[in-house]
Amino acid sequence: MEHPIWNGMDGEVDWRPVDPRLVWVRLINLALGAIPATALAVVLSAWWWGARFALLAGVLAAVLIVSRVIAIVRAVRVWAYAEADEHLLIRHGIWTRRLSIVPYGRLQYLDLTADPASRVFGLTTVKLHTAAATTDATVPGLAPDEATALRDRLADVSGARTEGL
Amino acid sequence: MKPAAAGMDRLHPLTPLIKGVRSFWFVIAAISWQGFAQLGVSRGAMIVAAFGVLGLAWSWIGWFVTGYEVTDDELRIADGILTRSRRTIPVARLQAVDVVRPLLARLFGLAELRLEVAGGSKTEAPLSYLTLPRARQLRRDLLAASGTHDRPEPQDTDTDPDAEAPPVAETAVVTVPARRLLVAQLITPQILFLPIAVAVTIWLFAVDPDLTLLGLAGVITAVAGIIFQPVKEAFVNYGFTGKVTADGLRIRHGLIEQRQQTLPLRRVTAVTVRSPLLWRPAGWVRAHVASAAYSTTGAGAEAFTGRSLLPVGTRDEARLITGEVLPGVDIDDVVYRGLPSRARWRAPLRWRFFGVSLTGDVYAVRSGRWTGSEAFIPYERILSVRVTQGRWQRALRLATVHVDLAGGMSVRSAARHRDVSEAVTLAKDLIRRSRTPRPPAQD
Repeated sequence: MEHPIWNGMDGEVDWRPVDPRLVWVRLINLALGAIPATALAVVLSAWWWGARFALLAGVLAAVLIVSRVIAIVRAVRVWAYAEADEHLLIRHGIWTRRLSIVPYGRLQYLDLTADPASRVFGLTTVKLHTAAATTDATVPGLAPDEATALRDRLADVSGARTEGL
Repeated sequence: MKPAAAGMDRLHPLTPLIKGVRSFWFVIAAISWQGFAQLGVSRGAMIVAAFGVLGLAWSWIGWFVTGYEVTDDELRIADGILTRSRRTIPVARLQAVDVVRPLLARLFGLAELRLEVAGGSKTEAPLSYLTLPRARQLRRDLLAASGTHDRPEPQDTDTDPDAEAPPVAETAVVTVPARRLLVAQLITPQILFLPIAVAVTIWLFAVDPDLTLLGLAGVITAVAGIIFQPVKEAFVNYGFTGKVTADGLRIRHGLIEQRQQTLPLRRVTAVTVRSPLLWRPAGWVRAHVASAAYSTTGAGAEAFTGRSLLPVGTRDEARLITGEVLPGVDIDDVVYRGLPSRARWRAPLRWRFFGVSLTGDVYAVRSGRWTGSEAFIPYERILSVRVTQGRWQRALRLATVHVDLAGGMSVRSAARHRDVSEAVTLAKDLIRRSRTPRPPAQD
């Protein structure tokens, strides 16, 4: 796969992919939302407009779900982070490619979260915050020891390089 | 109910009177004309008086239990009638100090002190009301304690805002003449739209003479809503003066409610200069500053535009004041690097207007077809950098570079549609330059 904006960083940094089991976490979350919604759409259209429309609704929903599944699988595969000497890099996104660079010294705090589906697989999401509201730096799907290790390393380096606001 | 804690200062004794008057208006509005008609004038007046007295009493109790004190590194405020609260505001986190003088308070020579604090979701601890000299004294003390003095200067020579003579020891004064302010607000899209709105209304009447009064009222309300912004702008920015003092950037403006804002220069995260299409024949621009203080707060629009640095002025004036706020920066000296011509497929109208420049002190970004916008961002204010590439950009080998700033929501800082390899290099460059030495940490 070609990643034009990410290639520029290759060779300099060591990309670490997120845990592949994140795919299952996202699929579970998708299923929890999509299955009841689909069922409701099918039942309601059968009730209001008849069986033919129910079939149409079902097919439409199936197409949407399949495209989401493909997107999830591909998105998790490319999501990765890298620790450089002075900054953390995060890359993600299928439709829109994104690369975030956050200097350690600018970290304000870290959020570690795990939704119920993540906890089933023991995965954690790490979100980095700076004083800027627009900073977009999230690493989902980390094994707990990897997440805490990353947190501790980030706390260490950012403590050493704190530059305030 | 307890009086303000011992050792704390009280607000000015006239405070409850001024605040209490507000409840009069509130009661009158609540009763409304219809209510007065039903109650009769004398009974209506009695009710207003009764509530007014209650409001005054409540305000007086509020004043009685409120106290504040300034220590070396903190401002402490105790208040609350039913729920007592004691707030402690570390001055190190101070971002900006405003002295606000609403009309009524001004008649009594009083002022309100507002503190903006980093990360605060709203204006922290407004102290209302104090005498004007006391408010100024407090502002000076707090800014001094926060260690944000930008220049060594022995005395704050600020004079009364009503006095004419400009103080000495201050530099880079920009003022906006009332005439220019008014003309500039007249040539905004909203006001130019007005004749069309009137014409349409008349035409509506012609077509449908049965148009009810209610329909007309709706049209009038809509028009009033549209022209509200420029009218408000003219009122708020009346008598605009901006200058750089020892405490930082000091801005004074306002017709009915006078405001004096002080923003330490070290808190500035970006300066933007915009030239709206309609102002271009006159050669006018407007300039704003972004700072962490007004990230999510401020008076509504400020969160989106940043603080006004120059509501309307010539490019020379913008250059002068920008050079003061960001020392060493000359906005006319910036040479922008444009886009590859294939970017026209992605942004056919705008591609020629995009540009970036890495000068010695700031990162400059230009964008916008109709409202040309230039953003000047000191490297050390860049908190993180992002590179994004949408589907169409990918087909054209283009990418966008974003920089994230504290309070930067208002800054158009995205360098759109750069060549991919240039974008990646730019991002790396910005990250490297963002590590340049900064003034001592302050958070």
